[in-house]
Amino acid sequence: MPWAKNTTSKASAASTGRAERIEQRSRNENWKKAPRRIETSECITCDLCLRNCPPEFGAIFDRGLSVVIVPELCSGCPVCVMVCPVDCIYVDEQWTPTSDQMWDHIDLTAHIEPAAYIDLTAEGAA
Amino acid sequence: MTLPIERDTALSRKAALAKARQSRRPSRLGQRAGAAAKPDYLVPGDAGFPGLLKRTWQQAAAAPDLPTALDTLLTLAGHVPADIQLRALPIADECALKVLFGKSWRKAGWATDPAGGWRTAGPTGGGKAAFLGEIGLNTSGRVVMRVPSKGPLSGEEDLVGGVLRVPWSAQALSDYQAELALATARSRDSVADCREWLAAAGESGRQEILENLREAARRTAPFVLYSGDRQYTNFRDQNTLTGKTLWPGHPDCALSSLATVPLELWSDSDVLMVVCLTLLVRSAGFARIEEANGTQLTTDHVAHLLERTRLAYNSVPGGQQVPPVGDTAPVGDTAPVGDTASLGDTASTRVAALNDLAEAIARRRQEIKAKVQLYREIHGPLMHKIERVAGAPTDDASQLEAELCARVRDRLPVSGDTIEELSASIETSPAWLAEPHGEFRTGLESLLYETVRAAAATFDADFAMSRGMRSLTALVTALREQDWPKIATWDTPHFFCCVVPGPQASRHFGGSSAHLADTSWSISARMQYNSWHFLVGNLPKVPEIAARDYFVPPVIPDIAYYSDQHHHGHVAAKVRFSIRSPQAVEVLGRTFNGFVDLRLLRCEGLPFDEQDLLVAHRCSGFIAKATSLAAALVAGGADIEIAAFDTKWHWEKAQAIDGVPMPAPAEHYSD
Repeated sequence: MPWAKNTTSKASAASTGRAERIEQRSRNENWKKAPRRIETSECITCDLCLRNCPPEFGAIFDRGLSVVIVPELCSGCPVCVMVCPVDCIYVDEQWTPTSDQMWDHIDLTAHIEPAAYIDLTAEGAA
Repeated sequence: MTLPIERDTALSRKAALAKARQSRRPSRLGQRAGAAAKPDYLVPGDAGFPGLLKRTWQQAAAAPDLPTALDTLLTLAGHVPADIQLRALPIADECALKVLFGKSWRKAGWATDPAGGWRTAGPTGGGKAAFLGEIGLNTSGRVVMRVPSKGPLSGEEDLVGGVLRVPWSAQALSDYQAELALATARSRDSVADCREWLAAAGESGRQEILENLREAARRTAPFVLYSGDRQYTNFRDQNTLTGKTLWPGHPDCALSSLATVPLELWSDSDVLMVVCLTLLVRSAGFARIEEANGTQLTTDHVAHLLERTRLAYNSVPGGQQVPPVGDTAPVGDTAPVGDTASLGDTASTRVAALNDLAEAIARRRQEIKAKVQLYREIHGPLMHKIERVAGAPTDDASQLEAELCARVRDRLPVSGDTIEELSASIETSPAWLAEPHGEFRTGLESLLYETVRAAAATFDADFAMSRGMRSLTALVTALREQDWPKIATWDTPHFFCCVVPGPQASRHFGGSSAHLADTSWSISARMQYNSWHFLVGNLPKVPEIAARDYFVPPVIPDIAYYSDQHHHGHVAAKVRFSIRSPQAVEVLGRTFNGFVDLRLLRCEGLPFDEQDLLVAHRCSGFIAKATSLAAALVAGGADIEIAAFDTKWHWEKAQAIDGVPMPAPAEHYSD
């Protein structure tokens, strides 16, 4: 997918602080766009969004049967929307804070490249 | 049309970006992706498994007596065989059900008379209750019991509903005590035996075992397994094994955390889990683990599964029959029943003997798999799989095949009354596969569509489909260059799936052809993922491949029952009954397992049967043959790319099948 690369330069300056956001468990106040959310009723769990989420955000995780966007880590950039084959990702104006249990999981990714865990995931209803 | 794989270089960057931002949902073609205010197809929060459990509990609570209620719970209201749920019970619950209801998957190894039925006491069972127990259903779908020494279930389990009170008589308590003592002693001996076996493996041997099991968890469909009250899973509940949620090395993964802990500190549950999974893998590879889904991991349970498999494999004439496990000092004389009533009473559950049996079964499997058709039966609510040896095709199968062939023959330049003859026909004259045919750019596309269309009609399916790779030309080029890293980078748009709805399919989607088209495309997109997920499992494990998310490609077909329970896509598309028939394809002399398949789906009504599966598998073999021949044409210089079966194609087909051909909504598919 060529699109993730195209957004990197624009987003990188504003989002080099992924580890800090994880540490503070809060969203960058300078992000003007609302985060995105995945509608599970329509999602096919293909992980294309996860594989293409720019690494400076690393906002998308597999969680049990669902693929979820962590709103505090999502800048609202359009990359996941562009690659989603079924258009199941929506603007989430009413986002709610991420649970502590989920943060405990996310914490483990604060200091590793997202590719290191994204590429190593596996599952599926073959 | 441009393949939806790479940026369209014929367009300016701005135009290409605008094109990429278009929604690929068929009913939203022409709209910008991500711009819809709300979802079109919300499903209730308890759709699928939670709803099934809720209905099961309501039915059990309304049952006229406890045995009826128990049967409802064990079968999840008729959706799974009770045998699976009986094998999910930890020791105390298993003893309680045997004593109170005469229910067990074992026929031997009991301290008291194994016969008998309902033996409760008190208000519903007659006599005075010596203990008032409980029975419930937890949110994993397991039947749970409150037995003596255990607190109320509401404090210990995540229950679907409330509890049913179960009065115990004094005699039941006495019998339970005897059973529990025997079963506990047997379990203690088994755990000690497992520890000895693991100790004998040595530190490096154990590390190898753990690494192999982590790889099994990464490279196969998810597991839900029990050891005592502990759940090992990489599926829907709190994950405890490597999988999609927990990456390798994650501290919550039981297998990862054991790697640095001395064996002496492993819990009994962990010891049983590691040994039992290893035995299962050694009997047939990673996929055997799924046959334990929803059940306990003990050596008794593994012995039961292996013995059932041994008998099934030995039913195939010829070759080297596998003798029963021959240990002279069994830990327990368990000889389970269930669907294998002829099992002997002397099966050993010693690990060394089971390991020998597992390896003998694996050898026997290699021997018989070319002689008979192996397949898996899948019970979707518990994701439990059972390997079966298919019988011979009957007249029903011959008739189905004849109907299918007639439909294919009517639309394609092939001849023959059987699939074998159709295959021979294209083998004799394959050139048309690379040339335009009908509405398609290549004959291969036409063959795919017409075969899938014929299958949908012949099998009375709500959907039929076949998936594969879009550019055989690109694959052949990459294989010649041994460019494994490049192949690893190809994502889901490099694959296709042709989904054809049956003539009445829209009735399952509110009579809406738009909803039908969106569902067809969702299924197609998910199948593209499956092709993506399997392809590189066939390639050398260079670092780029090893690091990539992939599954071991499937090699045998399966029939699924009530699989509309768990995955969101299965719930939304109503994937209730299905046949999946994967086939290998030869490309430049390399075998690609699971490269293509044929899938049949019914949203309701009757499930498919074994005869359907046999014909479907021959049909997918025809598609695989055509794909292999096409790959050979490409190797000889032809250029074959599957350009059809995109989102617009699925919109138009769904509209046409629904009777009123319509163009795609506001066509903005070009710059």
